[in-house]
Amino acid sequence: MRSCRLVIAALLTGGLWGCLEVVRRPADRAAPAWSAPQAAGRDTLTAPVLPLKRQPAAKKSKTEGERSQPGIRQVNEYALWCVENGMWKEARLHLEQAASRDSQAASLHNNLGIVYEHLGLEEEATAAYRRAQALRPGQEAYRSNLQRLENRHRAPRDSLAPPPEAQDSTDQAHPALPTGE
Amino acid sequence: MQSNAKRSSALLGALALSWIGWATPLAAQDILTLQLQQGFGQNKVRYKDFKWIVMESEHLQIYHESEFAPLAERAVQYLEEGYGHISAVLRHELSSKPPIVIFKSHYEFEQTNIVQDFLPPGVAGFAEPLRYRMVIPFNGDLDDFRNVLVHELMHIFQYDVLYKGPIKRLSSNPLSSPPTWIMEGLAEYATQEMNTIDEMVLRDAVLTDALIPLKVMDAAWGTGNVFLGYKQSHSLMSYIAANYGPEKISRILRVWDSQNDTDKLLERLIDLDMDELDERWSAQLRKQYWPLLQTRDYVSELAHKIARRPEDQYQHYSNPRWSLSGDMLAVLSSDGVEEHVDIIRLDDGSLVERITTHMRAADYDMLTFGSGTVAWAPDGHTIAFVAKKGPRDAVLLWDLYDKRLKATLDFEELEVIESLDWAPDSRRLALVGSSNGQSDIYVIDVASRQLRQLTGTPQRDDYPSWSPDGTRIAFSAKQKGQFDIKVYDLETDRAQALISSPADDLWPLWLPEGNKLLFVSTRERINDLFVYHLEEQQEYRLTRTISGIMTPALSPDGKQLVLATYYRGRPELYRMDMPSWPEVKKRSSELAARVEDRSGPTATLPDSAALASTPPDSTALSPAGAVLDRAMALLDPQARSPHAVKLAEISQPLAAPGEAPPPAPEAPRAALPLAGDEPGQAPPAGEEADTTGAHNLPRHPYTPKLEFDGIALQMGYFGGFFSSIAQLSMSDLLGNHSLALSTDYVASQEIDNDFNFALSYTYYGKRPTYNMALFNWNQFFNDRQDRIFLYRGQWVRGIERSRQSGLLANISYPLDIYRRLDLSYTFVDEQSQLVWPVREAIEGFATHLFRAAYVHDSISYGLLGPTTGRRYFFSVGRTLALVEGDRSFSHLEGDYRHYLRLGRWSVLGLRASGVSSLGRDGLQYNLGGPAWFLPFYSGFNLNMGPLRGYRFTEFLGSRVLLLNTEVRVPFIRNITFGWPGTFAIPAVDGSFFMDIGTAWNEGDELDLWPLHNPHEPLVSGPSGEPQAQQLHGSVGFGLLVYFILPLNFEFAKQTDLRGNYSDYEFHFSFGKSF
Repeated sequence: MRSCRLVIAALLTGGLWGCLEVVRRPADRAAPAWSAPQAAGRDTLTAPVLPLKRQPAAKKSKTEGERSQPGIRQVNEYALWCVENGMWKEARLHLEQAASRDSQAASLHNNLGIVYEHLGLEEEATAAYRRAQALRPGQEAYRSNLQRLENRHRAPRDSLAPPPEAQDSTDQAHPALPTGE
Repeated sequence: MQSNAKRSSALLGALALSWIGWATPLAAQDILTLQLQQGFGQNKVRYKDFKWIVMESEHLQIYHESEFAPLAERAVQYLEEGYGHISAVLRHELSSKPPIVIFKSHYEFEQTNIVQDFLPPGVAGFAEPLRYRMVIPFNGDLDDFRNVLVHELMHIFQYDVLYKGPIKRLSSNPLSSPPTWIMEGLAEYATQEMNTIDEMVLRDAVLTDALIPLKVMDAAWGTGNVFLGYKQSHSLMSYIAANYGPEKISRILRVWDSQNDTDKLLERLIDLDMDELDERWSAQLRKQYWPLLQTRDYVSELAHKIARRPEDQYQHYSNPRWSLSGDMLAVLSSDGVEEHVDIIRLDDGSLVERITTHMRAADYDMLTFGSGTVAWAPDGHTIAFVAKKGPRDAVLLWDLYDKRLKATLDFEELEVIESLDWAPDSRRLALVGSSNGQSDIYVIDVASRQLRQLTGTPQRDDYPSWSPDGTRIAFSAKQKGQFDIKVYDLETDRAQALISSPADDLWPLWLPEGNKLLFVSTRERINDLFVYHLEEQQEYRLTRTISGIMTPALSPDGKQLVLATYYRGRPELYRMDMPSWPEVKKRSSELAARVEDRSGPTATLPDSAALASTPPDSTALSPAGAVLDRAMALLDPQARSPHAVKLAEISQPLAAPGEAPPPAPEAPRAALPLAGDEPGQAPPAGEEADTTGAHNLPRHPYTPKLEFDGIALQMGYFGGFFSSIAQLSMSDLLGNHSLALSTDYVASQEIDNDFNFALSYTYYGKRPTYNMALFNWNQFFNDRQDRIFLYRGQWVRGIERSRQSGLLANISYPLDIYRRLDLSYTFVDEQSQLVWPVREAIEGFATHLFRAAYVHDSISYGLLGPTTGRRYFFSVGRTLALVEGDRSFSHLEGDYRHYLRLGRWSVLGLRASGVSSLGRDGLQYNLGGPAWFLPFYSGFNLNMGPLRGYRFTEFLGSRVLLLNTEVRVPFIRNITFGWPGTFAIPAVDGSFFMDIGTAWNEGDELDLWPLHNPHEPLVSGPSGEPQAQQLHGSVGFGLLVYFILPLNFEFAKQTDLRGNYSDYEFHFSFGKSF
C-alpha cells in the first residue's frame, strides 16, 4: 500500500521521471545509478520510489565528533526520500553538505550528479559524475550516468529542445532527441 | 486519580441508589463484584510531595511552598490591590477570607487535589464557589499572574454577592446563576486590558461577521470558539461601562439577584434587551474596526496561504521552522483531537512526514505546545521539539537521517522548556527555561548536555534567536509590563537593550547579513513586522496588516518568511517573500505615506515614535465611537499604573468630550546596559515594589482540617418501608484527605430496622492513592426460593434480607499518566435470611479477595466516545478461604480496545475482552444488550457488554468472550436551537457495529464457527449439564446524540454472518460507547 502510494506520488511528480530514466538500465547491471548500498539488485524501475530497507551499521568505535557526523548511507537514504517526495533542492543541499564533509564518497557525488541533472545544472552534474567515476572507476553505473549526460551534451541544441524538466520525462533508453555529432 | 475516584464513588453511588434497588427488589448491588470491575482512565500523577505554608493577609489566606515565598508575597500584593479595587467598585466585602493556593508552575498546578479532573495547559487557574478556593499557577509572567489572580478573585466576589457566603451555595439553585458571558465578562473586564492577541480575535470576528449572537452565547459556551466568547464578553462589559456608565457594571450582580432573567436584567440596567444590546454593541465594533481596512492589508494580499486544501480546514499548524532548502516546514499540528510534530510541504501544506506518531502511547505525556517548541537545526537533519515527560519538559532530538529519536535532553533545573532556537553550528540550543517559576534564557551544549543560564530577571525573557555568526542571541525581555528586544553577547556575557518602545517587541530574527533584525511589534495595537538596522539604529515598518502577525520564521537564505495570522476564527500559516533591503526602505515609506494620505499630517509620526496611545490608524470615529475610544484608551497599559485594576479607573468619571487626551507616551528608550540581567541578580529597583509588606505577614505550616464539601438528604417510602438517606463528604482544604459517609436508615413496622452505612477515606497526598472503606449494607429481595406464606389471611411471598459488611482497601500506583498498577483487598461477610413473614437464616459466608491489575490507557476522548489511542487491562484475583464456607474462586480478566481514526471525527473502535471466574464458587457473568453505565438492571456488575441484538442477560456463564467492532461517523457538530428555549447539541454521530460473543461454563464445549443461526433456538444459561456453546453475532446501526450526556439509540439484528438475520432489536442506553 505504501509503495503503491509512493509510486502514484512519484508519477504525479513529473520530475521524478528524470531519476527513473537515469536508473533504468539492463537488469544484469549490478549497481544502481542511485548509489545507496541496499539498492543493488532491486527492480530498477521502481527502486527509486521505494523506501530503502535499513541495514544495521557496522559496529566500530567512534569518537564523539565522529558520532555526531551522519553516515554516507543515511545521507543517501534521506536524499532519496527527499527525491521521492519531490524535494530535489533539499536533497541537493544534504548531499552537498555530506560531500563537503567526505569528499571521497563516490556515491554522494554520483547522487549529487543525479540531483543536479534533474535541476538542470548539467555542468555541475557532469563534474559530480566525473568525480564519482574518478573515485570508483570500476563502477559501471557512474560511468553510464556520465556517458549518458555527455551524449546529451553532444546533441545539437536547437530551438525545439525541451526544457530540462521535459527532457527528464523522456525515455533516455530511447532518446527522443538526436544525438547529433 | 480517576480510577480510585471512580471506585469509591461507585460504592457510594451504589449506596445512594439503594432505595431504587430496594423499591424494585431484583438483585443485590454486590460489593464484591463492584470491586472486581476494573476501570480505565488516565492518571493524575502527583510527582511532588508538597510542603505547604499558610500566610494570612488582611483579606486573604495564601497557601504556598516555603521556597516560593517571594512569589506568594507578590501574589498577596496583587490580590490585596485587586481586592481593594473590586471591593470599592462592587461595594462589597467578602464574608470570609478566601484561601488562595499558589503553584509555582502549571505542571505542579496540574497535581492539585482540590479537583480530581485533569487540568490541561489552557486552564490558567480556577475558583470554586463551595469553599471559595482559588488555585493559580505561575506561568513565568508576572503580568499574566496578576491578571489571573484578579480575574479569579472577581469570581469569588461574584459568588459572595450572589450566594451570600460559601455554605449558602449548597442550597441555592445553580441554574439561577447569571449567564456565563456576564460572569466571565465581568472577571475579564475587572482584571486585564485586552492585549493585541485578544483584539486580533475580536477584530477578526467583527470583520468576518463571525461574532457569536448574544442570545445563544451562553448555550453555546464551550462548544465553539471559547476564546472569542471570553473576548466578546469582555468587550460587552467595556461597552456597557463606556456608554451607560461604569456604575452599571457594579450593579449587574445585585440586579440579577432580583431578576434572574437576562433580558429583564438588561432592561432594568440599561433599558435594552439582549437583542438591542447585541445590535448596538456589534454596530459599535463594526464602526471601530471596518475603517482599518482603508489603511491596512489582509495578510493574503502580501503572502501565500500554505495549507489551502479543503481537508486542511480543521488542521491547525503553528510554530513553523524551515528545512535546509526551504522545501519543507516542521510545524506543530493539531486537528482538535491529536497533536503532532509534522513535516509539511511549503508549497501546499500537505503532510510529508509525521514525526510523533505513536509517541503518546510511548514514553511521553504530551507534546508541549507553545511558541518555538519545535526547531529544525541548520544541519538539516535534526529536529528538536519539546514534550512533557514525568514532572517536567524534555527536549527531544529527532534524526531525520535515521528516522529515530537520537537524544532526550532533560534537565532537573528546568521544569518548562519553550522557544527553541539552534545555533548556526547545530551543536547548541538556545531556549527559554522556567525554573522555580522564573523564565530565563538558557543555552544547551547538545554533545556535553551542559546547561548555561544567560539571563536571570524575575520577569519573562522569551524568543531567543542566534545571530548568524553564533556570537550573540537576540531575545525579548519583559520589563515594566512590556517586551523589549535585547541582545546577549556570549563573549562578554552582557545583555544590552536594542529595541525599546512603548509597545511589545517580539520574535526577533536575524537577517543573514547579521546587521539587521526582523521583529514583530504591537505598535498601533496590531502585531506587524518591522526591520531594525543595527548600524543605522533605525527601524522600518514592513507590514501594516489587518489581522496581525505571529511567530515569523525566516528561511535559511533569508529570502522568504513564514508567519501565522488569525483569519476567520483560526490561525493560518502564510509564506511571504522577504523584500530586499532597498525594498524594505521603500515599503516602509509607502506604508507611512498611506497613513498620512488617509489621516493627514498628524498621523505621520514615525513608527519609532510608537503610536501606542493613538487609536488604530487614527480613523474617524462616530460620537459613540469616541466614547468607546476613551474607554479603550483606559485599556492602554501606558495610560495606567502598571498595577492598577481597570474597575478602579472606570469608577472615576470619564473625561468629558474635548478634554485633553492622555499624556503622550514616553519616547523610546536609548540602548542602555541592563541591570539585573545576570543570573541570580536582583530585579531592577522599583520595578515591582511591594506596598503591602507581605514579607512581614504571619505564616504557619499547613495543618489538614476536614471541612464539609457537601451534604445531601433524601427520604422515601415504599411498600411499608421508610428510608432516610444521608450523604456527606468532607475534605481538607488542599483535597489530600477525602472522607465520604453515606447512611441509609430503613424502618418498617414488620421488619427490624436497619442501619446501612459506608464510610470511605481516600488519601491523595502522595503519588500512590490509598483508599479504605468500611460498610454495612442491607438489601431486601423477594424470597429466592419463591415460597408462599399465609400472613394475616393472605398468601404472600417471603422477603429476604441480604446483609453485606466488611472493608475494602485499595492502592493505586501511577507509573505515569498512561499506566498504573491497582492492588486491592476486599473482605465481605454476607448473611442472608428470610425476614418476613417468618424469620429464618438462609446462608452465610465470607470472602477475602486479593486482586491486582495493570492498566494502560492512552486514548483521547471525544464527546461520544474514544477517538484515538488504545487502552487495556489485565486483572487477576484470588480469594483466600480462611475457614470452611468462605468463598473460593479465581478471577482472570483482560480487555483490549484500540481506536483508529478514519477522519477527523470518524473512528473505528476494536475491542476484545474476556473474563473467567474459576473454582468452586466461580461467579456467573451475563452477556447481552447494550453497555449501560448505570446499574439499572440486576447483575449489572457482572454484565459484559455490549452484545447488541440480544436481550440483557441473555447469556450467562462463568466465562465470557466478546469481540466488538464499531465505526462512528459524525453527523452534526455544534448545533444550537432557539426553541423550545435556547440549547445546544454539540455532537450527533452515526454508528455501524458488529458484536460477537458468548458465555459458557466449565465443561461446556465451545464451538467457534459457524456462529449461531438466529433462526435456531438458543442454548443459554447454566443447565448443570455440559452444553455446546456457539458464538453469537449481531450487526446494526445507531444514532449517538450528546445532549447533556451521551444518548444511544441502537438497532441490531442477530446474525450468523452467513446470510441469516433476525428482526431488529432496539436498544436505548446512556453513556459513551466502548
